[in-house]
Amino acid sequence: MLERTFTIDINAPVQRVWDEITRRGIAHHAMFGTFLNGELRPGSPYSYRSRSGSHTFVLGQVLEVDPPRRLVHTFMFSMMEKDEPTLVVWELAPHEGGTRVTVTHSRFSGETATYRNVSTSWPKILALYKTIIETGGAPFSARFKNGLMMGMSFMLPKTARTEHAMRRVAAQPPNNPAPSSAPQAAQPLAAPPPG
Amino acid sequence: MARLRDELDPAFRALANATRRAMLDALRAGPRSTGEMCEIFPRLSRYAVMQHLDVLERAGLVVSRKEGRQRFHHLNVVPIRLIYERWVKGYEDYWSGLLAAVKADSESPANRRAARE
Repeated sequence: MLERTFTIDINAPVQRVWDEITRRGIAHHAMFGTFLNGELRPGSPYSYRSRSGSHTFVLGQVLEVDPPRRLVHTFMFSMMEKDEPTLVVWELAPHEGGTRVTVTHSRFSGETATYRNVSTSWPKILALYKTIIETGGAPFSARFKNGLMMGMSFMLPKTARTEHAMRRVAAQPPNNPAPSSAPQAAQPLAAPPPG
Repeated sequence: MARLRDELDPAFRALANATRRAMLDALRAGPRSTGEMCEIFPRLSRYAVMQHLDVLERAGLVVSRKEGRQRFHHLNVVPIRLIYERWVKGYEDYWSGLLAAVKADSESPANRRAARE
């Protein structure tokens, strides 16, 4: 099982960073202009969708929420159906007057398409959240690229359509993996939970 | 005047050493324990390996976590991304703009006339 860790320091209070990362109803320019959908409570579906909600790019389920410090959710790309669900742990901790954000992405069964994609995406995403939070807005280049991408969403495969993607979440057993077995960040995936 | 010291200073300092760059390469395949890093770098003392890892950790390029009795070192590429955004992307625009200007200039009617003569 592979895992990757991504850390960034943001010059803002923990609550402010949490609010930005979990914001609903407004485009996440750091997340390719998508909209975060779903409630922040264990068992709830968690997804990044297009503005209209017609397409879903990332989907999963919330396993653990401890605002403003910790959020654990499963993670699948709608367009990478062959890959097993993976696990994302967000941790926000006060650090030198600001916030240290650590994303631990684990449970990759190997160097899958999901693994390759997130290895290059997370640094961009975290760098953008830093810019957005510290300067109050996303750079024009990111907005422009996101706008172009969303404009082409009619070209996306069927698997990205929300009704198709959500069937996949429903197919997952509830709370799988169980919240109690979600690894603490200190020991991410050193040993997968038995069973 | 622009700030002479900025938050990327530690990352640049950490990267200005071939051994530390080799250590980052070694961590690309996945997290390694301190003991495993010593095996990968047999010419360095355990103390030197730990010193280098400490510099990398303070620069944010490595995240170290205790797992049981061992410390595992994870590569964090985010500072390299920040360096790229600040020092590569910005200058790329500058150079491509300059080359476009050279092209436009050399293809201008006046220059074409000069080339024919």
